[in-house]
Amino acid sequence: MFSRNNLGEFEEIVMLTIGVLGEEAYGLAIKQEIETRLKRPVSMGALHTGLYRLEEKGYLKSKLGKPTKVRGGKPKRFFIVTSGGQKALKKAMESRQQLWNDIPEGVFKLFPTMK
Amino acid sequence: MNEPPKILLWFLDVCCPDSRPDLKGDFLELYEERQAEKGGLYSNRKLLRDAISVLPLNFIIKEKQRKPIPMFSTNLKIARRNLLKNRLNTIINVTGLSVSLTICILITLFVKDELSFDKHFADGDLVYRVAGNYSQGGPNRLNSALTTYLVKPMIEGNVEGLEVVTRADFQSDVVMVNGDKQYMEDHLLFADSTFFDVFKVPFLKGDPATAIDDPNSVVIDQPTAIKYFGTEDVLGKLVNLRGKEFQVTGVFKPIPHNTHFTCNLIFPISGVKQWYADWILTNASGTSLYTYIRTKHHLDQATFGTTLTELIRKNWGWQDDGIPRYFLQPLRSIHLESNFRDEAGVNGNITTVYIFSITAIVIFVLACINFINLTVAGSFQRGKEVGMKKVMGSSTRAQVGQFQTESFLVAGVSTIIAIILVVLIMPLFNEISGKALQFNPIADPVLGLMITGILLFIGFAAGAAPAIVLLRSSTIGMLKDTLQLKTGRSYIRSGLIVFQFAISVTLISCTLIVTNQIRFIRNTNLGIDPEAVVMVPFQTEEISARFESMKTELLQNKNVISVAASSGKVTQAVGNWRQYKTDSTKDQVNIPSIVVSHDFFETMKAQIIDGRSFSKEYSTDLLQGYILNESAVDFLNMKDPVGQDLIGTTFTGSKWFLRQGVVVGVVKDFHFASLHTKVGPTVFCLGSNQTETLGWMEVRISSENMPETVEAIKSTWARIAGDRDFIFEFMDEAVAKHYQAEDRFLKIFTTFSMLSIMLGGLGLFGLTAFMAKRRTKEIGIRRVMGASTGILIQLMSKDFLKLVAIANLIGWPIAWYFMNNWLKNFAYQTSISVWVFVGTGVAVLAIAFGSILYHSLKVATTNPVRSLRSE
Repeated sequence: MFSRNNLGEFEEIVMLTIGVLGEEAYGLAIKQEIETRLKRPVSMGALHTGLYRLEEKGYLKSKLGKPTKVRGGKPKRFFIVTSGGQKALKKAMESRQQLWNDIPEGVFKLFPTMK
Repeated sequence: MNEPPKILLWFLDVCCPDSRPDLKGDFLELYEERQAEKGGLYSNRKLLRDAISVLPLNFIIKEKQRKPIPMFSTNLKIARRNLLKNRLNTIINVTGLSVSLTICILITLFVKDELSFDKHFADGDLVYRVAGNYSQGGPNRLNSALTTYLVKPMIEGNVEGLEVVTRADFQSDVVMVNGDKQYMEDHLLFADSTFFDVFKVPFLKGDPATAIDDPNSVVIDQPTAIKYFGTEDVLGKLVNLRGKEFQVTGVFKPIPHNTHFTCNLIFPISGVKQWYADWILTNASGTSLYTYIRTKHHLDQATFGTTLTELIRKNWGWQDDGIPRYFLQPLRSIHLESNFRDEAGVNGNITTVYIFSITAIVIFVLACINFINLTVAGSFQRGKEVGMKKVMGSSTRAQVGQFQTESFLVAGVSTIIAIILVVLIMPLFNEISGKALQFNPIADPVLGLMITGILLFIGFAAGAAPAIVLLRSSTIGMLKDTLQLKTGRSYIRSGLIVFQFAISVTLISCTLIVTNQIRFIRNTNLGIDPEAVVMVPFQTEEISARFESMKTELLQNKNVISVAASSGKVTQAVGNWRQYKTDSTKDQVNIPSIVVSHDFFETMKAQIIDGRSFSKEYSTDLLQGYILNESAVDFLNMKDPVGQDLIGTTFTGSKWFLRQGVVVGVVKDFHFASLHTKVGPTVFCLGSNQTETLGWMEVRISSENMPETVEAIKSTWARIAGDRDFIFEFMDEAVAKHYQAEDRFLKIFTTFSMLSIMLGGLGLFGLTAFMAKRRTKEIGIRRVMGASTGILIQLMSKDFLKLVAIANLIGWPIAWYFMNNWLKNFAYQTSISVWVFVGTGVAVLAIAFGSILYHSLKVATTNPVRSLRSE
């Protein structure tokens, strides 16, 4: 379906951040990474809902880490982007790139060289 | 590091889905960081906001992961296995719960019935009974439910707020129908035509407003109509009472059993007035009829009293202190709160209702304690199961659910058994309690809800308790099987055991004291001998007039020892109030008087201690002789009474006469009625056809061949009394009836105390079973080290027995306090013996020890090799 293959803007950011964080991508780290890089507040609810939805779609995979004494003895949940997720990201990026490429010369006067 | 406040942590648990433990971890990590940066208040606020923000996640995740139904069936499976495995435990629990639940249901039914008395009358809250406080001469006063015939005309129209007044007089007599069929009716009612305005009795036929306006009318209840005529269509049919025909003008629905009086036929007073003696109609101080009133609004007791006192002064010209004091009793309070002389029926007692309610609750609490105690103790065996489930990631809710499934199962089975038991026991219970209760939990919403409520409560509470205890303990400990009962919790357990046994001790001591008192009453010399005395009511004045010929004929039978007669039923009435004075200058005093025949004291085997008995040799006895009992001698303040003058009154069939009498003898005090009351002053005089009639005949017969003798009396009766049926009662049975209430009390108390000690014993039995299992290894080592069986049993039972001993110390004073109050009901009472308490203590300790012994002995005698190998 149409919507299934299209990522939302927030979803894209979350997945990319997971990529950036690599092995250390768990809930709180993702939230803080987005907040510091993009300078925008992210609510826990929105983030975890997003993560859950992405996992449902098969773009993310998660596994629980070992519980430690900090964090009230609760484990961390680490996320990685699946190959499906990576393809979706790549597709999103490419379709955007395509759109950028197809903008006629001189329309975006501020960025004349973006090609 | 700082944790968030408890309430926030709890809220977090609520918000985070169980399946996402990492979420909570994230929150806590974030909280720490924030706290380090900006302090507690800020981070608390943020945490709260974050927690709320993840709430929707619950609904998104839930639909996929929550599958309650397969879990439930697993729970059931495990529950079934577990209950079957611990069969003994299960049986103890089911027995305890079902028995106590049965008791609860029965008592609830009983209490509900007691509280429902007279509530069925429409607008009954505005109905009152007028009762009186009467002078007995001097400062002595007495309450009676009866009033005089004259109260109605006096208060009608003269008391503010009064709407309608009716008199009521309950009688028993023979009713004739169709000229030949005779029925002995014990519940006739003579009432004013306003009766149905006061008591709104529903009618099936006829109009209550006018039903007994006509002096020759009568209304009957539906069963009586069927009994007499075989149909309900009886309007216009004739009923004969004492030779007078009455026409049926109405049929009313039977008066429900939960009414403080009973009546099947209602005659108008206007139609039966001619049968009342003059003194009933004219004597202002008499007590002969009940007076009921309906008011427009609630009346003030004090105002009513003063209004009536004024009316009496004005209308009856009564000035001195002997004036009757009338007061009001709300209709709905009569059954439980009124216990005067001359009540219309056997009334209940509010104290009994309280005692029963408390006992029901206590028994139920005992069973619950047992159940919870045993379930918690038993659950320690299941540490491995719980620990393993925890490790495998089972949620708290699922674990509690497991325990609750089990307790629901036990509670459910117990409830079903209890319901079956109630249905089975109902007839027996009705017999003991003297009621006609019915059990129908579906039609009875209160009871149905109560049972459901109890079921839910037991299921939840008893299931949650062990789950909470276990889930709080460390998982590792559970798996290693080193879990110990924590000391703090064992205080609660000890407390519960003490509580249980204290109740048992109280109940058993009470039972013993009640038994003692009843035995004391039974063995107390009444002063007369009620064995082998047949009491026969004369029924009509014509038969009463033939008493002498009947007596002559009866005495020809060699098994008849003596024959006498009296004005009233000797086991019931103490006689009518009459006025006396010892000389003409003194004030009159009221003393109950009994009219008797010759040979009365001989027949009763009462002892004449001074002077002589009535004798036919002295013809003056008939009109002048008086015999006093000892109390009357004291009451009249006479010294050397025999031969002294006593001025009384006598009724000569139409008129009252002053009777210039002489005291011819003094009889030793004896009891006609129960030992609840002291022997009152009583005056005896002879009766005859010309003066006052005799109502009952007493025949003393030989204790051998009693049935034949009674048959012989019956045939004599048939020859002399003609077509009237022979009705009789044995005097000793009539006397025993006075103690019916105590007998019931005793039976019920015995049952309760047996139950409580049974529950206590079962509880201890179950607890020691677990204790013994837990200490198997310890005992094994002790045995290897040389401990003897005796020492081991001592070791196992010491702690429990200490608790039972403490329970004794608590139970004794409680029992003493209650029973001391109860004994005050009796004019003649036993003292409470110390041995009652010692006996109870020993018995309870023995039962407790017995319960402990079985398992202790089992553990203490197992081969230590075996117990030490158990791993």
